[in-house]
Amino acid sequence: MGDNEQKALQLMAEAEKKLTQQKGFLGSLFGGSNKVEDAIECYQRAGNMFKMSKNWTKAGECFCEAATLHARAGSRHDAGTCYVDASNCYKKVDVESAVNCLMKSIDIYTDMGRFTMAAKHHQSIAEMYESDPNNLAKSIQHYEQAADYFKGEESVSSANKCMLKVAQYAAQLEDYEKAISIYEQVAASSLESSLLKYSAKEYFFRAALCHLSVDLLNAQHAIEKYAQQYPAFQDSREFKLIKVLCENLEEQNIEGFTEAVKDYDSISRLDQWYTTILLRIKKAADEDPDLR
Amino acid sequence: MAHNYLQPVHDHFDDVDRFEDVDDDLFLQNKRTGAAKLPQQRSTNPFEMDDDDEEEITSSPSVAAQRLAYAEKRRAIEQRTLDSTNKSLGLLYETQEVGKATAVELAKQREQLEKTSHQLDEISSTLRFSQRHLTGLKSVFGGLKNYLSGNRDQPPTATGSPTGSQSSQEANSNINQGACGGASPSAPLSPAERYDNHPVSQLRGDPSSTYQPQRQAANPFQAQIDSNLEEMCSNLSVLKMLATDLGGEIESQNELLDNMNYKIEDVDLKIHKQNKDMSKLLKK
Repeated sequence: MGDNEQKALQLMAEAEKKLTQQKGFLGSLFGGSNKVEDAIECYQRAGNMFKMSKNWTKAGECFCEAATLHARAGSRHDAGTCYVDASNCYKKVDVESAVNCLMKSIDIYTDMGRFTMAAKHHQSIAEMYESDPNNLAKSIQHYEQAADYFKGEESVSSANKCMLKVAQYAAQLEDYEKAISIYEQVAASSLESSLLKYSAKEYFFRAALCHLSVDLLNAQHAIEKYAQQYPAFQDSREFKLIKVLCENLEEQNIEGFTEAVKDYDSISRLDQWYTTILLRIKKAADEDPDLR
Repeated sequence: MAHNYLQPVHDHFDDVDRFEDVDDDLFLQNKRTGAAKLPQQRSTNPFEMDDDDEEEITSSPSVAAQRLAYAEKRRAIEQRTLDSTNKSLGLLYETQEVGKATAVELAKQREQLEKTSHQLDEISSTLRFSQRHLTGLKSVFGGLKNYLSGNRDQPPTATGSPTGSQSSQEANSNINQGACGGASPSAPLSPAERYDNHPVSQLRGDPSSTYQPQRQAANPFQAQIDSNLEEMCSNLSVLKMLATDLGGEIESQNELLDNMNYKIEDVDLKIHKQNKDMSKLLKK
């Protein structure tokens, strides 16, 4: 056991001792709150020592104890901060414990009316979950909650960022309707800003691909609608690609479809999301040619 | 030296027997060597093959190989050019992506700056009230002064900057006007239109003055390169507009930061003053 761990254990013992000490009448009158504050300080120092020796579980436990004591003492903000510190430690070893700590801090911050902080922590939880493909649904849920809080606090850009993540993962989970509605909504709000209008093209492209995954006719109507909404979209390579893909799917020309995608990819690389969606469209066209 | 022009003309066709029968193919193969060759106008295009070249090719295989090498070289150059334009196009798209991401981050930054500015206003308002409380604590006269000046102070409501969306919309409209001079930024002119709209082209008035990009429909390489160059041109114009908008946004955020700086200095002064007042009160 390292030197830091030894010191940390001593500090923990000291903190427990301070909390369990019998208080006299005068002690309770004058030094009652000081004992709790000292115990909190000991736990925090112990947590930092454990962090130095990379014992993340113990460090998390120490910060959780400190948070509980802060909450008992009535300083909710400090309690929230300690829970966040604990979650940062747990994140390294156990995602669920980290999420639990963040949820506790979210409860504190929402109760205090600090929704921006709560939204950021929801975002952190979503990021933890998104690394595991089995937890994508939970990730979506937390991103939606974060977006909701951001919107309430007039942070439209942050809200849009979260909503785009929701759309991305919704499409991955084949919930195309949800993805389409989000992409269209974000694109429409982007067109109102002179800075963000350049990104609208990408959102329309993603929405069109989601449409194409559901139904060819809808996709054709959708791209016409997008071209009316944003005339510059009509001149883009994305629009041309979607047009060509629609034509090839109509003619059931899978080779033409592949060739068009390859040509597009040779100039601007398609990321993992695009590749997945396009492969699904191709597979669907291969399996059910009559539906096309 | 006198030329005898009046020599008797011999009719060569009198006695046909003098001439041997010559095979037609043999006759056609052997050209007259005595006749002076007229200088023909040759094409300067090294890849154009005329009749003489064909003869040379049939006569010497080394020249044929040279011609093939030239054609191969030309194809290689065309392919290299095409690859180069494709690569340039790809880089332009990447640059555009970076620009878009920067724009999104700047929009987010604006929101945060506006929120910070708003919070500074609230802090300033709160400090004004805490100053009143301190003045009241100082002495009876201070309390009286507070009572008398109470109607002038407003409650600590956020009266600072306008809402984020309003000011960002104003900034956006300013950027639009600044970047495009009132014109719609989403409809850039093509090179041909720019050429036609130029005063010099309009002054000429002759049909030859209209700009016509030379297209070799027969050559697919050329067509592809032309389309790539057109795309690059439109991409560059989009990048230019994006850069202008980013510049405008940064300028407007600089103004926001300047305003915030004044507010921070004001808050800082108030806090220092109140700290002094409190330390005086504690000494009493």
